[in-house]
Amino acid sequence: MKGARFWALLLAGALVVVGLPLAGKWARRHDGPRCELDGLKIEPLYRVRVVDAGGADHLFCCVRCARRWADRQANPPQVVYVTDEAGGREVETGAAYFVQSLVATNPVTGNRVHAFRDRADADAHARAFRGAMLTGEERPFR
Amino acid sequence: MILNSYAVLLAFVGVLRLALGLLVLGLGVAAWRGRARSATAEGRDALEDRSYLVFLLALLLVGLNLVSWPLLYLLLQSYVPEWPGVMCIYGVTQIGTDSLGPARHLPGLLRLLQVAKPALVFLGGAWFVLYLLNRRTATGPLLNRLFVALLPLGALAAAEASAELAYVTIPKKEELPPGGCCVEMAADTTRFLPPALTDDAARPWLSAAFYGTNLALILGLFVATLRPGTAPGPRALALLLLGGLAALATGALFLVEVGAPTLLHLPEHHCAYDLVGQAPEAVAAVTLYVAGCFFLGWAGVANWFGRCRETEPFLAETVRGLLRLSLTGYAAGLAMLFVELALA
Repeated sequence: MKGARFWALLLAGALVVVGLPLAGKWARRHDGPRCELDGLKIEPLYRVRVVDAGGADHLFCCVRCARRWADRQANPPQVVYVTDEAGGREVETGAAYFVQSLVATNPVTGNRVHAFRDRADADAHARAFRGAMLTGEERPFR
Repeated sequence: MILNSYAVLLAFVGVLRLALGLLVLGLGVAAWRGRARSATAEGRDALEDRSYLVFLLALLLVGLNLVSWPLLYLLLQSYVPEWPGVMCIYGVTQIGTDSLGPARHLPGLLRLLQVAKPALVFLGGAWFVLYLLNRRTATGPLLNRLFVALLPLGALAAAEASAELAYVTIPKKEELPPGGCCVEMAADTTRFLPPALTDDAARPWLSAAFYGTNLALILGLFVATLRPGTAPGPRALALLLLGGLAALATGALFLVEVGAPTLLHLPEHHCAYDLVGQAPEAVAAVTLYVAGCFFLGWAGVANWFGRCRETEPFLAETVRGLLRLSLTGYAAGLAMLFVELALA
């Protein structure tokens, strides 16, 4: 009887030890990606994708996080893609227009740098939200 | 003051604990002094009658101290959406930093609470172990030690409950944190630790040290509790306690440097606070692990402070029982963490 009770307790313990992590993983199966730097949920319009020197992708919630992460790496990234705020499509940073305005993309990071594929959209944002186009040394991911 | 259901609940529990802490402290002192004076059989009976009330209040206090520990973290988690620049409990702990108003005390109060709560739970558990040992005796030879143990328990509970009430009531709305989240902390690559322990190259070594230390401790506990009716000697128990301290230190480091970033899928994010909101099952593993540490400590308390002529016949079995609970806590916590990390 004592032996049966021991094995029942052991089985219940094993079920909890294995079942709880499985249940947690199952409950989070629909969670979207999070920023690799600060863990925030990534808003698709502000997503930044960095391809590191080894070819691996790293996702960030904004330009500021991606810059901070890249600054800490020993090797510069191969390529960085930002998201066009007007259209929602990825743009390579070399082809993007960056505007620093009064609008923060999220309050936690305080990022105020916005990325656009077209110059007209960038100018419109700068006019509407008292921003300025970033040029030359000011551009992120030079 | 931010009023939500957790704040109200924690404040209510805090008021109860403050009152109980002061009562236990006062009655404990009175009973302890009364015991010194009671040489007669009548005096001893009167003291024993009074001790029932004191011990019932102390038991209630121990239970409320235990409940208030997770409640604090639930309160902090509930405060996260209150500030737009805060994303986890770490951000909440920074509210009030550099403030000139009363809010400047908030970070210090939280640091105090985060240290005092586990200390109180351990102290309460230690007292409870002595209480259980004393209950099994015929003449109550541990009464004096129980009254003495009530003094730090009551004083610390009252002080900690006061700090908790102060934390809940101090206005926080107008105070903005200097940095939104633990990224500010992560930016400081040392994170208060030697860089050799926190860089990427150290991770495999840290993992090996964590699993090695804990498996050795589990093996030690298993061997120590193998024979029914016997408990390890003082030296072996001291070795186990030292092993427990080493395992706790390694475990805390492992959780911040390897566990949290892996479980959160955020290699750059070394914040164990995020587990509360994003991977709560990891908190269960940590709780089991901490329970293992506490049971090991309580076994030491029983062995060194619960020993007298009347407890000798069953002390070894009690210590062995506590060590087995410790073994269960360590093994279950470690296994659960391992499964979680494997699934991550």
